[in-house]
Amino acid sequence: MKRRTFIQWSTLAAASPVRAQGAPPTRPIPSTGEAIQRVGLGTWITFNVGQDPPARARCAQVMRAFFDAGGRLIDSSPMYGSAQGVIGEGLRAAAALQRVFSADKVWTSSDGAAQVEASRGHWQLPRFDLLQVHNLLAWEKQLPLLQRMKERGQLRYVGITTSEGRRHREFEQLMRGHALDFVQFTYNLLDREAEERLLPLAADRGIAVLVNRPFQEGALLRRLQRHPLPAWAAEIECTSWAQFALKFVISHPAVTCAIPATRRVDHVRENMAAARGRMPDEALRRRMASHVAGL
Amino acid sequence: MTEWWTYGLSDFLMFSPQAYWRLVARYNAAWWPAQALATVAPLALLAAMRSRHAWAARAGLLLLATGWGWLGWAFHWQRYAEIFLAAPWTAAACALQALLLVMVAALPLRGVNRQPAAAAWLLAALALLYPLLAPLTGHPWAEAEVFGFMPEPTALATLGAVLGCTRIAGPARVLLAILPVLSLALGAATRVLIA
Repeated sequence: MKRRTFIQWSTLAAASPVRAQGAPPTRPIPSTGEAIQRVGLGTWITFNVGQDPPARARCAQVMRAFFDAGGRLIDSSPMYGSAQGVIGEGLRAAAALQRVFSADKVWTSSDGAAQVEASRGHWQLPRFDLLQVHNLLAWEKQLPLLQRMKERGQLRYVGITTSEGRRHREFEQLMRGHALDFVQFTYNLLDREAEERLLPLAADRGIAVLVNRPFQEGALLRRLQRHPLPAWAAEIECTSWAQFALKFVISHPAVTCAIPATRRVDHVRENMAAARGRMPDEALRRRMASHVAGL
Repeated sequence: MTEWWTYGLSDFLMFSPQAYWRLVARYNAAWWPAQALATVAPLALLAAMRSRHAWAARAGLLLLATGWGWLGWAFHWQRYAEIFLAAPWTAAACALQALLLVMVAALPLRGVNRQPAAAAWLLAALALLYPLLAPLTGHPWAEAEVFGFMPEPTALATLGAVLGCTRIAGPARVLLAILPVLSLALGAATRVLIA
């Protein structure tokens, strides 16, 4: 590891209290220093409930619980069906328009500006905090658009996303060659390819990292829940496999925020609790990964 | 998009089983009791297939066209599009199928109608009994899938009618079978993913 990277990681790690009290622990967004909570809320599948009033009300309850627990960052995309409109409704219901850190995406090879405007309408916000080029789709066209929007003050941060290990080589090239505030990719106890290049590069370049699929869309938890939580998980105050998996992700020094998706209030509370309490050190992180790989 | 090979079937599922079945239940509730009438439509198709009169075959084809048109508008366009981004395209496919059925109904038909093949009877029977799949798989009746309202029973009934109605020329029968087969494949994939 480069010394510069080590120092940056140490600084990032030091920014987060080991044992938090009160407000949930945060990490700084490297490009501005703005603090952001370490657990956000993803909306893929879970918030795509159509026009079903009870289901939309349940999503609003999840959002309220998320904000009550100190959460801020919510991530969505035009690709997520009705999720953006559900978020907009939930934000109004929770009176959280000022509190939310809005992260959305542009996902089109045609008119990105029109799509962003439509998304903003669904969220009912004056502007987005973060817009990302979804899965690098037409990034040659959309990334300059987002940069221009940021320059005009129509947007605060710019990023790119990928998931499930796709196009990491091209992703890395963009991280090296463009001014990015955020990157988003998949990282969890089993999908650890990002540890090799993307996470060190993000730390090196001062780019914030959002982690998607921390539970592999639930597949990881379904697999883990067939086994008892190891007794030593108590050392980092884990009471469930979800917290075990989440603490592994957010304790990586280069990770800014993980964005697990859920449709349940108890799960969002459990996820938010994972950001508190003791975090694993590097030795324990290795033990966590090794234990899960052996199950 | 050089990474298509890295996508699995599940990557294209953008809604949960709960969201899907709630949508079906809301849709059924909105149109009840029209489904009770539609349930017997496959019986009418069976009768049309057996009839010696050409007008009966045309009526059967128009009944199918109505079913596909309604399915495309009421389910795919009005409801499924709430949670499935490709639904406008599947709605368009339903409209195309309805148009093809109307066109074939307008064309001259063969003079003789032979006895429908056993497979045709089987497919029509499956369409007729399809609503029973809901209670048999632990779903409430509110989520039952009925001809003209949901894709699979509509596709099964269409395949049965097309296979059974020998008055329709061979190439037209093949043409009329393409979209129902694709619809069944999409429906099977969705059912596997949300199981």
